[in-house]
Order: sequence, then structure tokens, then C-alpha cells
Amino acid sequence: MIRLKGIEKYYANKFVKTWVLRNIDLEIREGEFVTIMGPSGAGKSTLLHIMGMLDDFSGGEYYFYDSPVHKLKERDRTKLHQQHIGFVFQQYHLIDELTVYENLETPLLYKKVKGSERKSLIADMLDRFNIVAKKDLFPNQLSGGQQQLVAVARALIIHPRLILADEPTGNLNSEQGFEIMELLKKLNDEGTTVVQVTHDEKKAEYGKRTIRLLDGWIEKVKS
Amino acid sequence: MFKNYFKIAIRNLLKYKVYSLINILGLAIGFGCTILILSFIQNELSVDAYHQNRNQIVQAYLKGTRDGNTNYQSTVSPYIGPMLKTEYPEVLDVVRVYGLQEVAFQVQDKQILESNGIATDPNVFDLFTYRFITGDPRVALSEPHSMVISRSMAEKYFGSTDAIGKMIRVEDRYDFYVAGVIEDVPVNSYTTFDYLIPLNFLRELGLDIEGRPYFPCSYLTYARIRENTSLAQLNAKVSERMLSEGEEITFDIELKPFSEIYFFETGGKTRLAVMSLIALMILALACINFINLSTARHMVRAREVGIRKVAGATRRLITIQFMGESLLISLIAAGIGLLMARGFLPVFNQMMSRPTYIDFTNPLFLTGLFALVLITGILAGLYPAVFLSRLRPVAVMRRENQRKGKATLRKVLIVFQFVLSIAFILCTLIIDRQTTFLQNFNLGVNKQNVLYVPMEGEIRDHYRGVRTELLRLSNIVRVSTGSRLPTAILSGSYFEWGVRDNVGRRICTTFTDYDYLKTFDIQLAAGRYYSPDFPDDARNSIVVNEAAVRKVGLESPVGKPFPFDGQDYTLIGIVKDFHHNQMLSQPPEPVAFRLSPDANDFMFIKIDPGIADAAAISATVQDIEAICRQFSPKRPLRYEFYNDFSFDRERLQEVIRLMFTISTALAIFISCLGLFGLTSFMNQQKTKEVGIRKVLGASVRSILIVLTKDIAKWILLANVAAWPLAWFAMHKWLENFAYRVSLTIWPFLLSALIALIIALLTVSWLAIRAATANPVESLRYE
Repeated sequence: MIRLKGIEKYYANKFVKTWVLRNIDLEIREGEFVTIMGPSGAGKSTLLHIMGMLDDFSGGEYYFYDSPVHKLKERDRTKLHQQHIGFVFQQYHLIDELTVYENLETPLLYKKVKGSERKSLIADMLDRFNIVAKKDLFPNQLSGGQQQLVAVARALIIHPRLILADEPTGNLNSEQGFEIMELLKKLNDEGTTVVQVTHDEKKAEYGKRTIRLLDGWIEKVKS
Repeated sequence: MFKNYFKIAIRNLLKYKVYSLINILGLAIGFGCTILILSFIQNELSVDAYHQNRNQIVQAYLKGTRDGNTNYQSTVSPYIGPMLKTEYPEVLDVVRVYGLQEVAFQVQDKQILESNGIATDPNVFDLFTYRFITGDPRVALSEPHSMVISRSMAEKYFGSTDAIGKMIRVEDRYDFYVAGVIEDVPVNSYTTFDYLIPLNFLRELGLDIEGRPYFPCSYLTYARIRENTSLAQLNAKVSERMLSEGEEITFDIELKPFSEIYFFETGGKTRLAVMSLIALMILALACINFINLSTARHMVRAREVGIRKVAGATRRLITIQFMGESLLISLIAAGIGLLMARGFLPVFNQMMSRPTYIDFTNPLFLTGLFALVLITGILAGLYPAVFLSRLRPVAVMRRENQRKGKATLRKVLIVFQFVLSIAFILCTLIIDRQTTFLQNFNLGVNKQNVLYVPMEGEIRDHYRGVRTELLRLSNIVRVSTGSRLPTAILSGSYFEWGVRDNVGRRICTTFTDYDYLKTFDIQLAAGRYYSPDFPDDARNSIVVNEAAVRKVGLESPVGKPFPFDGQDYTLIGIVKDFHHNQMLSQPPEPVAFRLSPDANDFMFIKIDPGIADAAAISATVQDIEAICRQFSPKRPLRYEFYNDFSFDRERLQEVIRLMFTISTALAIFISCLGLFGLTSFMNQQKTKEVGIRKVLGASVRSILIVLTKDIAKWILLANVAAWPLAWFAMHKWLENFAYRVSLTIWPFLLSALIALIIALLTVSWLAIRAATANPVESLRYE
């Protein structure tokens, strides 16, 4: 599904190059549950963002299915991303001015899903995450766990083949955190590919494979 | 999708109220001004546009050339009309129009003074489009005593428009019958009137309606010419013909297209251009606020953009969303602006002394307004939209690069706003100085406590009796007559005078009685004025002003012969030059004062200049009215104080001053709104800096300096740019005046000071709040 070949990323600042990622070779097959671990500043989130086509990389090749992402224009990247990828952030990143319902609706609007279909998709999601009663509330009226639920629901609503979760439980208490992890596991069991970034060894164990990053290099691959 | 955009736009507007208020209020003011001016322009353009033949009609102008300057007069001799028609096949039809004085109408017991009538040729309705309610336009003015009246006049006298054949007694002497009723002349007409009578009737008043080529020049003359006639060629032929008359070599007739007359007469095109420019500037100031605040606020919206991009939004969609928001704001502002414009319309109309309507049904107005909303929305939204759509989602959400923006564009725009505001302030200061200068200018005429009364009817017939009675009142020091107010001696003629050299020179003439000079405290430079003690004065004496003596280069001419229009007079006195002509656009010209001891067009009554109390003056006026009533019981006395009299141009001057004052206030207000909004965002950014400085022991004063020194720098920079701009504009404008204030440095320094003070006041509240905030609070959230 994802093939990274010699991916590099650095920030050029006058005379100094700050390396974030160096020579990353990585392949993720459909249906996997991969955990990326490593200390702060190792480049975990950057790698995830690159996979999610949210960030540029300085060198190397990236194939998503068979599309060469490194050669695509922004518009086509957005299209790929829009079709296949759901993203979950540590800080939830809901739009404050929109209600739960409207936040869920946003990706569908960009995907140009028809009104009636939109309604039923959102209704399904609300049901599945048990947040029907919350649909007219704004994000700041919800607890952190509920906000993350909405964020996950929003990522899932386009039925992505790949979910990228950047420390999805980082801002949650442990009970809420495991709830979210169980959810990801269930999605993976249903066939969705999941890549998560985490600090937490326990949560890393949900993954079937762990990749460890250190200073931008892949340290070792445990299968 | 648009519902989603709309919702978020509205919620953002409501959430950031200050920001929304600044944007919408500023834009609404801009739109309000623009709507008013757009309507005004549209009204101006529609003047006389309803005449179906308008493109075929021309008007004859008397064209005089003197010292390289060309003057035009709209009234020509009655001779010109028939001449054009008989001698030029291109001319299909001509109509002459004579403006009537105020006359008394009587229908049964109703007696009313009517001031707005014309005498004209019977074919007037062939040329001009006036709608008849009853009567036949072809014959309505065929009899000398027939009359066509307007709908309002018919309703006023007869209670309905069914007035055909009804009689109206005029001046208690002539009986007219109504031969037609027309709809009221539309307000968007340059010439309006309430009734028309046939030109032929003027013969009964002893007026010469055949005339000579250049006499008497008091008829408006219109002609309908064949389509596709070259006006230039026709004018050349007419010129040749007129010059061959040989009577007046300095005069000529020129035909001007009717469609250009209104702007030609009112000088309106420049005015429209200046007004449009002002409105555009105010709108531009408001747009700048919009751009500035939107970009300043990008941190707030950037996160949303990031999330939307993650959710699959393309750059295009983000751009559309933000453009949409700016269009929405523009639309809301236009709505409020429209309400504002409607609210201020009466004030505006009073100011411009022309009725303006906001015509929602007019397609030109609607398209104009719509285009304006669109352009404003796009212009104001383009930069923020492109700016935001370009953001990389991850960078935004990681809060990278957020403090880095140097905001150069914002600073440039703020400086630009202040350049305009300062230029506005400067122009207003200078216009105000010039206006005050003109108002206080020593005209050489004392207008204090002088009442002027047009002499009509019985008052004119019994002037001597009226005068004797008036002078019996203790408060009245002088009663005099003349054909003109001293500051309204305007119409000149060309003929030989002063020396016998067969050269026609222009000289203005006024007729006065013996006391004219004393009434207005006008000084003599040499000799004496007319006096009843010298019976010869009435026959062969003449008085001129200094300018006349200078013009013909006479040395101590008093007592010597003075030829005047073919006759020989003795010059008995020279009047000191005073400003006899309209405004101060020109220095005094030659003026001749002729003696006409009794009946003149105006009576001037001088009340004791020692009386300044308004109550005492009005009591005296009542006494005057009582005396006049004895002589003329039916006709109410019309009078005006000379001090209250002003020419159109003087009024225009006042309008210009008012317009600039208001525009300046609006410009400053909008700029300050923008400055306030921007400063509040900048201070938010600087909260941490201020907090750290305070923890390090900075005083409130030193922090205030940090927060405001940038503003002071910008204002000074703006001055540098605004000064030459305003200097150039005002230099040009002042060239219109023969007497003008000199451009000194003071208004420039004053405007700099005003701008600086206003700007510092605007930001100081925010700065003080920021500087006195508890540093622990501001640092906690970092």
C-alpha cells in the first residue's frame, strides 16, 4: 500500500541543514497495524505527515498504491488523500465554530457526497460512536475523550483504507485512551490499515509491527 | 457545501465582534458614500434625458472673447432664432424662451405670486417632450392670451386638472385662459417652470421680440437640427454670418448640443469626478481595513484551514471559502450602507441643493452597486484568501512560523491609509482657510443691515411715497434704489467709451439713484457722485470706477468729457474699485454708474447700523412691511437681507468645504478603526513580550513607548507622502481664485499633529491595557 524509498526531510536554514528524516525505506501492506515509536524529535510525526501527504519531503520516492506521490501535483495529492486517508491528531483538531454534526460533514462536503447519503453516513457514525445526543454541541462543550471520538469518527466517515493516528491518546486519560485503541484495533480487524505514532509501550502493543525512529533514522524493525 | 461555509462565516462574524464591526462598519460607510454619489451621478446624468429629440436639439450661446478668455452667455437676442431657421436648411425648428419675472395670479379669491413661468414660441412642444393631460399641444399657445399650466398649478387653482378654458387674471391687468394642462416638469430638468405663455404676449408689455443681432440678449434659443448635421460646419457658417453683421466684432454665436448644456452650465463634470474620487478613496480605506484585519487574523483561521485541508479541501476550495466570506461581508456592508445612504439622503440633498433619488429599479444603478459589491469583496478578500489557502496544514497545526510574519504589507497599507487621511485633513484645512478668507474679504461694500426689496407693482408706481414714509421711521437711515446689488454688477457690454478710438471695450453698467453709494458705504476716489443739487446730472453726467479709468488710461479725467456709447458725457466722479462681480474669481472690471433717480429694479433700505439686536431689527422689518402694505395691500412684500444673499458659487464653496470636512471625518474614522483593530491584534501577539519585560522590571511607561513608537513612526512617514499630494491638489484648486490664501507650512504641520494625536489616542487605550496587564496572566498560557 505504501512504499517509501530513501525518504529524506530537512529544513534548510541559511548555512545549516537540520535533518528530520534520513533515508527512510519502509513498506506498509494493506491491512497492517503499524506502530511508530521513538523519543521526542525523532521524526515520528513528520513521517506520519509525509505518509498522509500533509507535508513535503526533501528527497526520495513515495508510492501510494502505484501512484508516485513525489511526482504528483498538489491537487492530485489532495484527491488521493481525500479518497483513502483518515487522519487523527493528538490535539483532536476539530473546527471550533462547527457543531459535531457539521464537523463530521466537512470531509463529505469536500468529497462531494450527495445530501441524502451524507445524512445517512453521519447518522451511522453518530450511532456507532454513541454520540447521537451530542450532535448539535460545539467541540468546546465536549470532554477531551468525546472530542477525540468525534475526531476519529470524522477520520472514518469517508471509509478510508488507511488511518494515520498521531498520538491519538496523548491528551486522554487511560480509560478513554484504551477505548480509542480498542476502536482502532476493531477497525484494523475489519480490514483498515492503521499506522499510529505513540510513546506508550502498552499502546504500541496493539500494533502488529513496530518501527523505531531515532534522530531521523529507522532503528530496527521488529516483526 | 455553501451552507457549511455560510454557517462558519456567520459564526466567525458573531464570535469576533470587534473585528466584524470594524470591517462591516467601515465598508458600510464606504458603500453609503458611494451609493449616495452613484445616485447623485445617475441623477445628474438623467437631467433632461427624457426629451425625445434631445440628441437633435442645440442651444445658441452668445460667445464673447476678451483678453484671450472666452465667455459664454446662455441668453441671446430674439433675432437669432428666426435667423437660424430661415437662413440654414439644417435647422428644422427653433424655440425661444424668455424667463418671466414674478407676477401675481388671481383666480376668483385666490391670489398667489407665481415666480416660475416662461414665455415661449408656440412650437415648444414639438421640440421638447412635455406630457399633456388635457389640451392640444399644437394650438395650446397659439393665442396671445392662452396659457399652459402644470398639473400642480391646475390643482392649486382649480382643484383638478380639468381646467381648459378657465380664466386666470395676471397682475390684475391681463386675462389668460387655460389652453392646456401638462404633467409637472420632472425634477431632473435643468429648466423647470409652472406655466407657459406665448412669446407674442410680450409685445403687449412693450418688449422687442424681433430685436437686432445682439440686442436684447435675454432669450434662451433652442433649435432642432437635421440628423447627421455637422455642428462644427454649421457653427462655422453661423459665425461667418454673425461677424458680417459688423455690429459687434467681439461677439459670436455658437450652437452647443443640448445634451451637454447641463454640465456646461453647472460645471458639473469636474464636481462629479472629484466626488467619485472621494467616495472611491473612502471605500479604498475601508477595503484596506478588511485586508489588514483578515491577514492579521490569519493565525485564528489558519488552524481551521489546516483541518479543512486534512479533511480533503483543495486550495481552490479554501480560496472560494474565504472569498465567499469576504463577499458576504461586502454584501452585508452594502445593505447597511444602503440604509445609511437612505437615512442621510435628506441631509445630502440639502447640501447639494439638488434632489437626488436612490432608484432601486434603475438597472444602471443596480448593476453599478452589484459590481461594486463584487469588486470590493474580491479585492478585499483576494489577498487573505490566497494567503490562507497557501498555508501548509501541518505547519499551521504545529504552530510553526506563526510569529514570524513581518506584516510588511499591513504596515504599508496602514501608512497608505494615513497618507490619504492626512491629505484629506490638509485639503480641508486649506479649503477652510480659503473659504474663510473669501467670506471675510473686504469687498469694499458694507452689507450690514441692508434690506433689499424687488420693486414691483404699486410699490414701484408709488416709490416716492413709499420712500418718504419709510424715512419717517427712526431706525431707517437711508432708502435708495438701483438696478443691481453692488456685488452683482455682472453683465457687461462692448462699445466705445472713455476715449474716441472706435474700439469696443467691455464695461458693466448699473443704474442707481443719488444715495446708492452712501447706502453701501462705497467710497469715492475722486470728484462727486450724482446729486439732486445738479439738475444737469440726469442728462450729461457719468460716474465710472477706477478700473474703467485705468482701462482707457485717462489722467485726472474728472470734469472732462467722457464719451459713452456714442454720446458725450462729463465725468463727474470716480468710484473706488470694489468687488462688483460674482465671487472673487476676477479683479474688478470697468463699471459705469448711470443715474436713474426713481424707479429701479431694487429698493435698498438701510437700517441704523448701530442696531444689532435681532428683535429690534425684526420690529423694524415689521414696520417696513406695514408701510408697504398701505401702498400695495394685495401683494406681500418680498425682501431679503443683503448679508444673507449669496451667489451659487459662494454656496458651492460652502458645499465643497462641508463635503471635505465630512469626507475627512469619515476617512479618519475608518483609518482609526483599522488602526485600532490591527493594534489590538498586534498587542495580543506582544502579550508575551510585555509579560517578560514586566517580569524583568520594565515600567508601564517604557512599555507604552515600546507599544506606540511604531505608530508614531508610521504617521511621520505618511506625512512625507501626503504633503506633496495635498500641496499639488490645493495649488491647482487655488488657481481658480484671483484672490487666495498663500500656502504656508502651518496647515501642513497642523495636519501632521492632528493625525499623530488621533492615531496615538486610538492606540493608547489598547497600549495602556496591555502595559498594565498582570504579567503572570499573560505568561501562564505559553
